[in-house]
Amino acid sequence: METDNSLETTSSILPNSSPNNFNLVKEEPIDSDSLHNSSPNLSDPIISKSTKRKEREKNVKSSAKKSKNVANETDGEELPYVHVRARRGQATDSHSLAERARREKINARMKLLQELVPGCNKISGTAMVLDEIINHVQSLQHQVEFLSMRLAAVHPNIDINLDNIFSAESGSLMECSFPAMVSPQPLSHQLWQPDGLTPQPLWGVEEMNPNFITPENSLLSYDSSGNSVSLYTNQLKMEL
Amino acid sequence: MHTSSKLTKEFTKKWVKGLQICCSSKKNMDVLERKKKIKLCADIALASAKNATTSWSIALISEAKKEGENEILVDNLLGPESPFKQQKTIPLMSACHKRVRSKKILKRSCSVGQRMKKMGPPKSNLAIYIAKTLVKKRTQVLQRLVPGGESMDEFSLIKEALDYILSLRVQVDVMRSLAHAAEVSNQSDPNVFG
Repeated sequence: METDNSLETTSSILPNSSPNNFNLVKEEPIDSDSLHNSSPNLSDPIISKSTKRKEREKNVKSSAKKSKNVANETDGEELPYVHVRARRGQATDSHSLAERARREKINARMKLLQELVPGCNKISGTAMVLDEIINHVQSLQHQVEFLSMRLAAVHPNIDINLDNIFSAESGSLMECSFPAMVSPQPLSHQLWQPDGLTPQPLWGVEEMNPNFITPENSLLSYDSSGNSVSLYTNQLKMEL
Repeated sequence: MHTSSKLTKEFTKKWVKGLQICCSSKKNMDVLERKKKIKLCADIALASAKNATTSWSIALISEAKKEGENEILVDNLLGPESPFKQQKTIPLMSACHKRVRSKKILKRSCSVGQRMKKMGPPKSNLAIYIAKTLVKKRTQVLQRLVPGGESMDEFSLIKEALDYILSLRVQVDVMRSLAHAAEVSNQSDPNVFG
């Protein structure tokens, strides 16, 4: 009974003292039982000094705070009444330290991703960056779909001699063809215009656009940058 | 970017090889079937060019193998090493799936219980909670996009996504150049493909 009264008085004192009061006041009845059990463990030195009510109130307050803090910070610990000097918001146990390390790893990787995906550098915040990454992946996958559709539409059957040529010249062709693909764009524009053809953008168009290129222009534009591609077009003609 | 040029070469070789295998088996396919075959060949070639170093590639190939008709294609395309690896990883992955799912269910039930207790938190916690749910939703979406993503934790998911984006870019580049070249040659000799 005395302890109950003391607890009630502490509950009136507590709201003024700490910000945790809300939770503390609710969980008072639970705490009282555990405190009865633990107080000999925790505050042995204090209790042994005096057994007056004020001292007991102090013990109750401090131990309540301590136990509350411990309960807040340690999720999976079995002994909630170990000496913990930690205050609210500071992490000292292995769980939160490990979590912090893990989070730092994840943030480092996110930075890498940000550099990879165009336009992500300016965005701050994990959710937005993840948004951009998702959009990028989706757009790449859609592009693959469109391109395979394009390829399927071009040939009546997949069996074309291009494959033979590619397999023969595998590495060198692709290496040469990439700069060849990229550079003739300004050149081809110049070639097109005197003929009065409509210069259409070659890249970034993922639908079936009829490319108004005359054969001579295409060969010329490729020849200007690399011979290998013109070789393969000639081979095509010969074989077909 | 040496690795990407190497990947490009590998991918092109395997893709072309796959296309040859594809067309030698059947003839007279309509456009959609052809498109599917082309895409399939491209995906498998991309995944096999990685030589089973990344888990998304393993997942992609195992998914492709599930359909019976693709198996021959896949087996022909791949080298001798990776099929053996896949046979081991498939049961592992299904076990991982189950474990992850059961863990997720447990976590969800626990977290819901915890959330019910902590109702009425101060405003800073609420903002953090909202931010966390946003990030969680997006990681779920990303898991669905990256092949084999469901059985990955956050950290490896990001790593896999990085690699996957790089490889997708290579795939898109190669396919685009081939498509363009094919169209150009089609234009130059329109009678041939008539």
